[in-house]
Amino acid sequence: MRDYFLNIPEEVALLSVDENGDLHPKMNSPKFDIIIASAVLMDLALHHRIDTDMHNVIPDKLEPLGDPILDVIIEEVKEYGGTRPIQEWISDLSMKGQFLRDEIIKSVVDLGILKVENKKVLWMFSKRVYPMVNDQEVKEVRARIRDLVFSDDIPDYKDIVIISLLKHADLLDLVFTDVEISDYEHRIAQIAKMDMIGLAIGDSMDKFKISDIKSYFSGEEKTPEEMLDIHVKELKEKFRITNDANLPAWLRKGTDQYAKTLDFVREKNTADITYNHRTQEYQVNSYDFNGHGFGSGS
Amino acid sequence: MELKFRKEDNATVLELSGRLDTSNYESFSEELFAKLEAGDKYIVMDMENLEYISSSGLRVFLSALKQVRATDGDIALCCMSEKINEVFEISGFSSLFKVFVSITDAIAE
Repeated sequence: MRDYFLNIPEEVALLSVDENGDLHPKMNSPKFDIIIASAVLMDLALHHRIDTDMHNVIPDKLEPLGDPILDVIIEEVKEYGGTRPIQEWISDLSMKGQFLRDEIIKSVVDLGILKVENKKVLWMFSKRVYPMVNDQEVKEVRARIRDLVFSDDIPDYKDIVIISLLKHADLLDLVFTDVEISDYEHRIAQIAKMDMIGLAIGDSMDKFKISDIKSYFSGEEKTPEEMLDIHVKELKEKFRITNDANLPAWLRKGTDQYAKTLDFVREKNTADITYNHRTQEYQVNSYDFNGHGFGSGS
Repeated sequence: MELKFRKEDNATVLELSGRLDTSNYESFSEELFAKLEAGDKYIVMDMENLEYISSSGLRVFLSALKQVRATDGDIALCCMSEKINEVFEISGFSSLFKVFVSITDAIAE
């Protein structure tokens, strides 16, 4: 059982829910995977599971936190075993973006902060929304961040990383008005750079090549092997992975897990998929937070 | 990392040498906060021989600054090498602290 109520990825996700239960559109972008991955790393740093310097992630105390989201990643850091460039960890974890998004939403629903509803749009289409059941936590986070930025107070590490994430995700409008963002630009920038992982996000974002992932996966006239090759190539390019050995087993040719991945691609006729490390199940990417935890996609 | 404390006027000078990293940030934190709990309000960090600092080390600096400012005290940094100065500049930490080139200047302030 974790000894904190919300982790950093959950706080960021909650900030993105509006009064209608809709998630901010930017959070549905595959680019947001970098933000989620960085939020996880920052949370591990907050709990001293990892340490960082200007370039690297260094393992620290790798005991579990009792947090299903973070513990999966602590295991991965443990398995990796040594110092590794921050960029590589961000790339690696970004590939688990769908898994992490689903787990985050599932967690805040389980905590009773959000609920899941299907809403009719134009009398025909159904859309999933996440109305706030208890908005106390998100109000507190928003107030805390605003108070810090409007003052000269020394920031806490947790607030540094939340501001850094919001800035890099271009989501400051979740907490501030446009005028406030402009008036406090210097203060926000000053706080946002106080974390090494935050600095690495900027670099990842700058080099991120967005190509509409979905367009790659239509699957027309392609064999499952070809579709999966394209998916892996796209992920390698997106996350700047140059060595196939750094791919997760489910995407690495020659592994037993890769054969299972191929079976799933064959079954679903799409390679736009992800693998849930906790449930050990595959799912089709949804890009709308309607993930596996709520019964769609797989 | 080696830590040495000494008193100069009303300031406590803390000499840091070697690496401040995963292996020793906790002991550094314990020793520094023990001084703050004992009532030392003006701390000068002599960083001439500090070779490396990780984020955990920076966070100890941040927590200590927060605590000491709450009691109207302060932490001054001095004599940073180019490499350590770069870390403080890039991370924006140098904007939080008063930074000096010599111990004498730091104590005088």
